[in-house]
Amino acid sequence: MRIVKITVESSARDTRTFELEWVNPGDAKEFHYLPGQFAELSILGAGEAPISITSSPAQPNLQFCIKRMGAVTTAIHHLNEGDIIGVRGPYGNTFPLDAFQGKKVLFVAGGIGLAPLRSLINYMLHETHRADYKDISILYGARTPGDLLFKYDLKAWAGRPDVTYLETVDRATDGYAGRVGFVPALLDETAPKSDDTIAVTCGPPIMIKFVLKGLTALGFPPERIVTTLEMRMKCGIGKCGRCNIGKYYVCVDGPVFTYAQMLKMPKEY
Amino acid sequence: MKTMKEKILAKENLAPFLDELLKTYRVVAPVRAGDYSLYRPLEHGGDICLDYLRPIKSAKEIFFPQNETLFYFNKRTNRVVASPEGEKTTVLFGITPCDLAGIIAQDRIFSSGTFKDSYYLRRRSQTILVGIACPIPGETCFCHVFGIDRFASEIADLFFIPLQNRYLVRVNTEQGGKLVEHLQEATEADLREAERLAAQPVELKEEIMPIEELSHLLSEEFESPVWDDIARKCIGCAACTFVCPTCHCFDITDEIRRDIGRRSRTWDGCMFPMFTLHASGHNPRTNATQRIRQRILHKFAYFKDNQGIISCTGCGRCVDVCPVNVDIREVLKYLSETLKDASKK
Repeated sequence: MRIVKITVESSARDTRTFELEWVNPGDAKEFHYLPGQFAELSILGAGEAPISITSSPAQPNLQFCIKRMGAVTTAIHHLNEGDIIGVRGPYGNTFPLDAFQGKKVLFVAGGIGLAPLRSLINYMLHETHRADYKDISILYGARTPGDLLFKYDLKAWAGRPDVTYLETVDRATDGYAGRVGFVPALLDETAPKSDDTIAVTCGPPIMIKFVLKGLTALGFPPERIVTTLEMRMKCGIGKCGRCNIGKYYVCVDGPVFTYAQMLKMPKEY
Repeated sequence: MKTMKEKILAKENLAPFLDELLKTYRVVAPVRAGDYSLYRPLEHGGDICLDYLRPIKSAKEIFFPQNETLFYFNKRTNRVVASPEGEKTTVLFGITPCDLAGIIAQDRIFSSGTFKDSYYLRRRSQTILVGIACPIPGETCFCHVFGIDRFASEIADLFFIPLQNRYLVRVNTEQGGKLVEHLQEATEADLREAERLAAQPVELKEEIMPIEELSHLLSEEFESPVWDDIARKCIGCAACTFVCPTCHCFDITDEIRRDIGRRSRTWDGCMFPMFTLHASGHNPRTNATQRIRQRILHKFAYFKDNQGIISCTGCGRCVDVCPVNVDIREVLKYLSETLKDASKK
């Protein structure tokens, strides 16, 4: 696929969103995805990396929000608009869209953990789908104000009357007047009601751990807490054998799991 | 499957038989390589070497090579060229019963699920399997624990049973039958000799609880302290995973020189610390206890849950090659005893 747009997301410039269009438009028909899925991005000479799809299927181009971490993501960061990225997928399961129907949805995200949730948020907020869901609340946090990603979306969400949007940062920097504190603290403070609500969370492991605790304390049963897990992957199709947690393969059985499913897994993630 | 007549091949005619096959097929069979044997393509029928109990590496590499090119590429032009295919049909000759069982496990992995592995399946579908019976198991063998028949195989096209000075050839498929059409049919006496051989008592005993029962108990034992005891010796060399007929893990890597390169896949193993290392530095399996637990539970519990079979064939190769004498039979015995005791409490 060809890069049509690169958006620098973080002030450290280490996280960027790459928007891709099909080189052969016919290939789009072969790539049906839903929020929650991922793709293997390929750079010839550097290799492949599994990256969650951050765009909503309601939009024509694919978007991937990528932090520069290893060999492949570094190679991707060296690319310019007009360059080519190989895309293999879509892989993995999707968020349980049916389960959300007619329910309130609470999103709790930290850092780049917002990337996979953004696909679902924008899918739900799209005019053709919005009526299928009740109240949508989004709690989002990052280390510093400069690490808050998708600022254009955050602004749009905050401006919508049908969305409750709250954000926090671990550490304020000059000129920031917003809330300071960790994401789980924001959850405790706002104490969203758990009735008729499904919670969706993604972020660094330590955040997820405390968010799960917090949601449980608020009365969310494990079946109504959804998260998306990350493991080292190569093939993405259940063969190469490295992303398993117990008998579950994150690439094919996940990456989306409910907390109820996670409680049945060995603590090896 | 319709039953076909058993055939007979004199041992002295094995090499000429293979030479005849080589006119039409690529033939892979155990050949001598230093102090052991390996499954390798034959140049001449006479190169075959059946002097060893089993080749040091399993037959999986014929379908799932230790390193294979997925495609070649030119980075400047973004051109990608598939690795060449269309080799001749392969006759894989002299596969031991434990390796045939290994192929069953590999088949499950590479041909199951939404996405099949076309590289594996292409080779697999182009191969005729010829098994060979294993009358006398070796010191480290324990295939009987898994109920493996040393004198028959459901997936082999042909199956050779070594008699006094000749082979009794069981024909399981038409494809196999074509290779031995010209051989003479076995007599009642030949069949009786094969039966006698199979009935010969061999000393096989392991104090392991029935493997299905152990498999069932294991899935509950993730947090058990036994894993620490078992892992104490392990140095994480992963030799066990490389000789194993069922281990299927791999890595995918790129090599590039100027603009030209290739993407390849290479055997990898869960005993390596880097195997699960995330780009962030996080690693869900940082120590030997976690890694050996993964290897044992994968073979004896997870694989059973996901694919319906235990993925160990009792070939004993991992026992042979382990530099610190981790013996999977001892591990299973130890688990049996500990879990039996624990379940009594």
